[in-house]
Amino acid sequence: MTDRVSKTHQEKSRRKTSLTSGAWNLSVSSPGGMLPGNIPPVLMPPVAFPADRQLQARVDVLENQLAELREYTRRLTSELILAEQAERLRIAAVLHDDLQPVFVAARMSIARAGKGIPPEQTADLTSASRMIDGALEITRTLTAELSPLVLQQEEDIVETIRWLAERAEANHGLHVDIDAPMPRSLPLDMRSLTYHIARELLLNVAKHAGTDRARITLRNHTSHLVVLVEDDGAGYDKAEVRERPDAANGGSGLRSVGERLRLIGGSLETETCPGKGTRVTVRVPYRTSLSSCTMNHTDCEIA
Amino acid sequence: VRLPEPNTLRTIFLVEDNLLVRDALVMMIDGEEDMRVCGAAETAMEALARIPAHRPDLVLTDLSLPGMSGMEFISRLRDLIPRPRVAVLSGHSDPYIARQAIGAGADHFVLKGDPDVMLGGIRMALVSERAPDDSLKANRL
Repeated sequence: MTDRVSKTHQEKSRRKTSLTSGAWNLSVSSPGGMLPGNIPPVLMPPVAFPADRQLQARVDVLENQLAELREYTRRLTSELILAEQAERLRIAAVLHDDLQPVFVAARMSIARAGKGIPPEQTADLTSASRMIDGALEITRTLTAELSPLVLQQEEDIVETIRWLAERAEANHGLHVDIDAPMPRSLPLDMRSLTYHIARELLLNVAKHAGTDRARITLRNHTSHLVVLVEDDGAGYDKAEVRERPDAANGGSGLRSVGERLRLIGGSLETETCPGKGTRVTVRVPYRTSLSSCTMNHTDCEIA
Repeated sequence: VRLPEPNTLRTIFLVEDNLLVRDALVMMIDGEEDMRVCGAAETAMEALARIPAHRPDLVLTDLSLPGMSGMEFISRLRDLIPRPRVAVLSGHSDPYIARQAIGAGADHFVLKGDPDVMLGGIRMALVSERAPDDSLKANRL
């Protein structure tokens, strides 16, 4: 009687195991799953029953569907990045080719109109000129922000990062050391994504870190580019930042960027604590890997 | 009436595809006593065909041109006729572009906008040695 009960228990144990995995499993061949002394458990082959096979087949179908959905999401995200870049280029072209010439011509027209007029009578013209100069400056800034020419003309992402570092120094007094021993050519969409992430990270350093130095490291890996942005500044408490009211809505442009990176097989991770500086590690998958990459479940912690 | 001295009058050939800007530049330059526009072209190819006959002192060119980039135009112009100085007149206030233009063979980089600044840059390009424009203002990130 006792033996029969024991066999029935073993059978149930095997069936349960075969449902959760098709591989060989560690099974405990004693009642209650306990082995006396230090006797090791026995490797038992999975036993498939008709009902289990049906269930496994269903699981396989669902897993395939999930993989297809992930691939679809990855392609959509990739297309979204391309569409974003195309839209940036379009708006930059409109600003530079259509709007800016009107301001430039208007500025020259006003200067011409003011010739020969005593200075005390040209206050309105001077005021109009200043307004146009301001508008011109805005179009230039926007054009450069949306799609800097270095990004369009240099395939090597290192060149764009160097350019970004120059601007960070000129405009924010942030000295950026660059460690990038090898050039790395990337397609425009990936260059654009990398540039906008690096720009956002440097802006964060300039605005919040309370330091005038940062460091960008670029490393080529087989399937992706690693971009490290580090500073020895103030750092912050990630948990505290996550609890801020605006955190649910993104809190930072980096959150959405990080999510998109994750969907195309990349990641964005932040290591920081108060007084210890901040280190952000970004992994950007190469274009060649996008068509075959699988989902990367790296935890994406973005403050 | 503008009657400049013959030995001080400098000639400028304009290469600018935007009609609004081209016309405004012609009026601005011709409004000065020491310079005049001797010709203008809308495209780089047209400019390459016409500049040798005009023998200008200065070629003032935009960088965004149809059919051929401004950088390529400057390189080809330098191969074709080395004499005239070349100044780039651009709406981009990006040091990267200025460096590219100088590297392609331009002598000066002039930012489109304030007429006084543009005329100052044009005069500097006409009379001085090659020097980068220090009026460039880097944009904010």
